Amino acid sequence: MKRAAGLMVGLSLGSSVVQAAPLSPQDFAFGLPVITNQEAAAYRFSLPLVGSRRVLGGSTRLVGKPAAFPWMRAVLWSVLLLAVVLLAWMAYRLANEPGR
Amino acid sequence: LVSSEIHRRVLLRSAKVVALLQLPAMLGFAVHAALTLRHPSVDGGWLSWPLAFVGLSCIVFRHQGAARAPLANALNALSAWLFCALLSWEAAWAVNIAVAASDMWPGAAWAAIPALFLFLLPRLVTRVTWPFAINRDAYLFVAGVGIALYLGTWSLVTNAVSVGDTAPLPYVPVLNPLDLAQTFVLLILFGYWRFLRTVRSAGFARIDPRVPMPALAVLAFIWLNAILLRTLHQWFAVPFELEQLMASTLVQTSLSIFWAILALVTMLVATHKRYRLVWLVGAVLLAVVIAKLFLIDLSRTGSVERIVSFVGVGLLMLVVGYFSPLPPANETQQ
Repeated sequence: MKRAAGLMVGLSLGSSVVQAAPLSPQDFAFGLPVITNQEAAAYRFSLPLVGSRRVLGGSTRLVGKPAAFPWMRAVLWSVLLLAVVLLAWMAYRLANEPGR
Repeated sequence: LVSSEIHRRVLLRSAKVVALLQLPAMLGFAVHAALTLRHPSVDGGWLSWPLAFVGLSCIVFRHQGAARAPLANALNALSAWLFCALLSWEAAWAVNIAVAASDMWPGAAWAAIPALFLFLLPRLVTRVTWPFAINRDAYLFVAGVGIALYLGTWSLVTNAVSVGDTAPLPYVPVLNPLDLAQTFVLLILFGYWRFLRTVRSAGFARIDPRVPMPALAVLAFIWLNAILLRTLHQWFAVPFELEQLMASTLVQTSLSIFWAILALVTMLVATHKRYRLVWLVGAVLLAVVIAKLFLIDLSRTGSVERIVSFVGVGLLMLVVGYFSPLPPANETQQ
């Protein structure tokens, strides 16, 4: 919300399909700074302009992203398995080395 | 290098001393780096350390004197240790950056580089003339033995303090970086000792041949027990504190059965290979298990654990008695 020369200009986001609830401006006063009647008279309340409907994400936003492939875990498992193979080869060579 | 060249041209003895101070200077810089830097290649270390080692190699080549002399031994061994230490530090740092989830991965890197050096050392001293073959004793019996002692210490320390946090992977006994590094270290130490026994040298006479194999067996025994304790900690939430581990009935029962299995395997292998002394070691371990059953397990464990301990160990002793007779005395080899 921006204040300029005694005029509060605000941008509202919402749905153009859902019906407005029967609320008065005073219903929104909770939590806001209290203003006097004279100050309130200085403000001009007007109905917000409703723009054309725009679908931003649509139903795709409701579908969870597929989990990314765990590259790090795959690499670490590969390293461990490769180490097992190398160690097995080392042990085999040591066991079959002619007695020193 | 300038001092070295001055010494060569004008035979100024003090210039040689200055040149030889490069290694102590490098050791000092390494200690300073260890205290102030995160890894050795930072702050231009990636360039300065290789250059320093090239310069050191030139100086050692010119001034080490006769092979087997104390100066040659010291220069070659210290430079090999410094090289291994810096490389291990850098590798551990890189692994820590790549896998920041646990300290087990960089811990394994601290052993991998020295173990790899020890793996390559027998090949280097037989195939590369300088500096390895000429200074064979310095590399095999000073640098190599020093690194072997470091690896033994690493094995003991990591087994004592590592709880088996293998994140981001789940803990699997043996199939984890620490246990694979321990296997690598033990195999390397075993292979290195077998190689040293073939070397006819004055350096070998300084090693008591009765020590290495029993020391390796003790390291392997401690490692196997550490695997068991880490597994009980990770899978059954037994706290990894000595007091709490020893107070756990699950740990005591597992140790009894595990030691009995180790004794069984040891005695079976000893019977197959006809190693009488090894068989006796297995028998002593079995006797320790029986003593533990009556002195510790019987008084502290609940009924189920007690039954499992006694039945399990009893069955294993039956197997030992049936399959593994004592090898005859005249074929004792080890």
